Amino acid sequence: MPRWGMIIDLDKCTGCRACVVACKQENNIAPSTEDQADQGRLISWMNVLTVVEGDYPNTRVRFLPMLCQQCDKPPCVRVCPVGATYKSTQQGIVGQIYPRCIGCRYCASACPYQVKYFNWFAPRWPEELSPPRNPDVAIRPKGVIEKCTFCIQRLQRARDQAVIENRQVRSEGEYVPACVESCPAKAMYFGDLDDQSTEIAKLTRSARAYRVMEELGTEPNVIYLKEGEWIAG
Amino acid sequence: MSPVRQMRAIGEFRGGWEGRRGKLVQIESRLSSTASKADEWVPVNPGTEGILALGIANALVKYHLYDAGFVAAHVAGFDSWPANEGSQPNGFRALVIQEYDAPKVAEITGVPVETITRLAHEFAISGPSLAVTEGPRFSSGNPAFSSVAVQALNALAGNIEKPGGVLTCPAPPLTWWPPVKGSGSKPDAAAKPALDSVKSLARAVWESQPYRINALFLLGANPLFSSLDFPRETITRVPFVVSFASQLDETATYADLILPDCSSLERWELRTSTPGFALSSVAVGSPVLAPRYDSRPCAQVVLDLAHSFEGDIAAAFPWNEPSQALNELLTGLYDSPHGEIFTERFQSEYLRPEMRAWDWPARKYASRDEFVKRLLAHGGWVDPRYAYGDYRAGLQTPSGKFELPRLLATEASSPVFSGGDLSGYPFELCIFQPLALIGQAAANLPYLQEISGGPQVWPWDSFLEINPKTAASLGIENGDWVIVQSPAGRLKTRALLYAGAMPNVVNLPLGQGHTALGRWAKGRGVNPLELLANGAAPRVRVSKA
Amino acid sequence: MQAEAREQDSLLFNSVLKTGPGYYALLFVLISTVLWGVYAYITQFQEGLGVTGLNRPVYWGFYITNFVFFVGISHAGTLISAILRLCQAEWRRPITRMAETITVMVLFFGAGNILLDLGRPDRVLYVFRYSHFTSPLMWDVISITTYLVTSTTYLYVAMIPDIALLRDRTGGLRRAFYSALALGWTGSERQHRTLQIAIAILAIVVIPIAVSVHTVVSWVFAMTIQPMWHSSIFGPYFVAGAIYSGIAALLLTMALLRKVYHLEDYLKEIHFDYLGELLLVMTLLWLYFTFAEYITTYYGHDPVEMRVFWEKITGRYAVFFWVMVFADFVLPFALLCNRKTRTIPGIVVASISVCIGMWLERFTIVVPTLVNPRLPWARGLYIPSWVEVSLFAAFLAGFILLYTIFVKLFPIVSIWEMREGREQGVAEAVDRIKSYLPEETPG
Repeated sequence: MPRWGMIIDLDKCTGCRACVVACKQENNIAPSTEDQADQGRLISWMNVLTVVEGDYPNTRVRFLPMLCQQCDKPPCVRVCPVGATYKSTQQGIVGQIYPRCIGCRYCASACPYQVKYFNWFAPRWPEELSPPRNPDVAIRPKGVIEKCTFCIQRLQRARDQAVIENRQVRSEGEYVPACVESCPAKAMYFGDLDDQSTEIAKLTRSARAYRVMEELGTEPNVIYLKEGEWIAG
Repeated sequence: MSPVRQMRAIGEFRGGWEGRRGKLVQIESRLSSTASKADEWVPVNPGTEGILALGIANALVKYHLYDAGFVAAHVAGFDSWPANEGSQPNGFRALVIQEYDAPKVAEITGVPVETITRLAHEFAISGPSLAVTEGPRFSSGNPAFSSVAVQALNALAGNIEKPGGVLTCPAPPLTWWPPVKGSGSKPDAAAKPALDSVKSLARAVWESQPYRINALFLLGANPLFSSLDFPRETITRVPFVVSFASQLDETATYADLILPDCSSLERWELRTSTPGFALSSVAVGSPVLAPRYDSRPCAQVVLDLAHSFEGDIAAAFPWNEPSQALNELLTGLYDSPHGEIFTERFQSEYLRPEMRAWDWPARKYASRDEFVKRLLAHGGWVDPRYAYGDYRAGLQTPSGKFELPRLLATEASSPVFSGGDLSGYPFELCIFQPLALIGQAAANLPYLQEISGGPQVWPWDSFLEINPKTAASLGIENGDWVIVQSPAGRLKTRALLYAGAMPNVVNLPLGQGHTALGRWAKGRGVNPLELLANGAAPRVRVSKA
Repeated sequence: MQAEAREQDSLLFNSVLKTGPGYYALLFVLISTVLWGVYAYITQFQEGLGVTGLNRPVYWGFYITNFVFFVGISHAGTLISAILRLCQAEWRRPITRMAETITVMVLFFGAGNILLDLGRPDRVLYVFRYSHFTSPLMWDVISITTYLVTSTTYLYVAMIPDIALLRDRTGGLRRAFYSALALGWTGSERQHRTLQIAIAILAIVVIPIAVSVHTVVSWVFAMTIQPMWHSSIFGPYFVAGAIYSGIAALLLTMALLRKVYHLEDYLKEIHFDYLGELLLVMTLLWLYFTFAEYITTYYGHDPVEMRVFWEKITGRYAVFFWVMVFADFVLPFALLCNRKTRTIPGIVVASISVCIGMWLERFTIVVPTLVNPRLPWARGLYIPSWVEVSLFAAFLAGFILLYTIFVKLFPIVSIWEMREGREQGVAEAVDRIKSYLPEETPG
């Protein structure tokens, strides 16, 4: 059973936010308005955070792409009263069942990464961007929670193709979420963490590898590679 | 400029080579996105980047850290200016030693002496090293001066036409179309000089020098918004204005005719010499969609226009469609003895070190047509070889050497804007362009507005970056409305406290403040160029609104 | 004797049988407020929860605060009725029904607030169809449903003799109504015995259920890992707070009903005094729990928790926090520990203060944690919108409305228990006290 995971190399991430836009296009997320952004209701399954530390002139700015960490022990799954969010034992992805969600937002309050998003209103697209482009992804109605699904629709396509060809989905390269595909700096890697032959599995053993808020025991499947250092010589 | 190319390059740069990776030092008046990725950010007073470069040159010369052999063989003007006309100091070496000693440079630029010396050492010993600048666009510095000063550093370090250094990209061997001859009634029309800047265009409009402007065609340009030199009064003087804009921008509002161009997915495109890519290359974009709206490729319009004339003009454009013109260009590549179509072979093999030294003989194709078809299918052509050390080809100067110009001695540190009483304007203004708003029509794209700002995201609006301590002294908190006032203009926007802003500098993003361009761009934010109109100095005062 | 007794308690029937203009005026005000709330809710239902002030990261605000607050008040009934019954405290008699009614009525509005809070209220039955039992909200559903059923049964059963009395006193449609509900009560010995057993069982059963209700409500917060929510003290803290606010609400209800229906003979100073002393005990217990919570947080000095801590003590929610401390401790303590101020007016002031303070306590538990998530972005702010405020008012009005209607339908003071107290309680109490003392030696 594959355990899909992602590696994000923070050294290479330039904060260009191409992944943010690619995700919105792929997953039919409507663009927000200025008011929604002001109110903190912007939906951005993939969100690149800018962390500013220190005082001038020793300021340090870093970029942290934050998306659903697809935890192995997800706090959100435990608290959902109707099981609308669940951990897939077969694929390792934390899924979201839109028709079942009752919109209580317990999962959103419980997630320490703040990566669950709620539809405060029914999503509206401007006429020129209608209809939303991707037929593989459901449009979420108002009142339900949504979040990154590692582009599970792409996994579905890969699986269908694999079934036709009577094989398994390849551990790396065949199924890639939109954000990973779009990254110009090639800072993101994606694949089956359990298959030790993949590049991604090797990178998980890097000295730079860490997970955000590991100490909470959520066991995320998104692994970050710390920024490197220039050594003279 | 290709943002994707730049990002990829940064990614590869960070990846390093054989366990080592280079150091990126960003010298800038604010902590930009690039500075965020840099190993070191050196805050420098706006417009003084060139002076800092010469300060580093001073250290290189003083501590004998420059490549003396290279300088002796390939650099002119080091010991004395060519055609010495008695201007003092004589020669680059004398200039930097006398005028750009570290304490003086430290005073002007705000960079400590130790940093200048250390940077010079690092630049010299970490070869190959490279100094790159874009030149400050809207600050008080002299852009030409800065560019030249920074390039001088590369010359001193001997990093020209060497791996990892400054490379000049040779033009690809395209079959260029024959030059246009003048038509019957205006035989020397084609010989008239081209206007190469907005400023010279404005001059032509107002003064009819070097010739009168009867018609203005605008493609991918919105000078009313993005230039200081082309205000409304200028464009109204042009008798006939045609715009190819596909979104109604400020300049198109004054057009007599708007012929919307197709988007890049709907038309043929050609690019040679991508900045930052040293190999001779041709990139071709082909249309993948039929035009969605009532638009037409600009190239098609030009061809149709040419055919409506008679005689030499029509004859100079013997194609019915842009693709035919493109095909003709590309046939020259077929004849080149070297070079490769962008194939998987190129992409995978080029990164292997030994393959760099290959001869890369051109593959044989059955016919010219087949070659062009494959080229279009794969998107481009490249000559993977680079002739390092070919100074004659790279340095195309009268002396055949890198010429350290006397420009540096004369208009040294004089700011472009001078005069006037600036005592009431304590802050320097640094205008920067967030990545999301670089495109001409970017401000009208909601998804881009959502991610605009940089490096911090401040969607859907303009903002003023201000140092937190400075803000505290003015009683400004994060998100407060503030008034920014210069000798020429006044703007109101919101303050963003940012520890990456220098204490004496405030930063405004370029790209918002449109008065046209569509419902998402119009009336949103402020245009910092309004503060610089009429040649005003980029100095401002800031107060809480 | 019987006739006298009947006449003596005829006052208690007035609330049911006589209606003045004040009653209709109150109904009008309450119904208008409720209708305004319906309008607010329709707006929310049609447009989505975006009409509230909620945002990311403040996903919960007024509705959840009110949920906890209202469910907390429902603990009034349990304490007074069940515990005092089991302790055989005679002074409970006039109070039990008022208390039990509060419980039953307010639970609807407590659970109703969850319905308001849902993004998809049309799917609320999914909690029964797709129950996911690891979720504390699911435990809430079970617990509150059980509590509601048990409390309603308890209230109803204890009312049967009084319903029979009303049946005998009224005619026509009303008589039919009371007849149906009276279940053929004749007042026989056997029926009384069955009744006592039933009440005793229910009283015992309802106490752990009630304790579980507010414990699982607290566990909605405590079972997450969010700073200053994840606290093991939340269970007892919330139960204590619930009892606290419940008693305060009950005291307010008593004072109001006493005034309006002239129940001075039944709700005497001593009843207020005893409950007031109990309120004082709860004040101190509240202080103990709150102090323990905050000092533990402070000494632990976990940076994430300290952000929430300082937000409450000196930050944007400091006003709420310190008003809460004043309203939940300083003022009630000052009023209640001094005999001179522990009068009915003083107790009423203290109770109002406690109700406000306990609402603030719920608010300062829910919102400051959400405003300060662990990761350094998405710092939020929460300003409730007109929809939330309207629905808060409407729910309060709705609760009072249902209570008002109940008062019209059934006697609010348990008549049969008052009579039982007069006829049997006195003697039983004397016997009980005698049994505590050593046997009287003859001679």
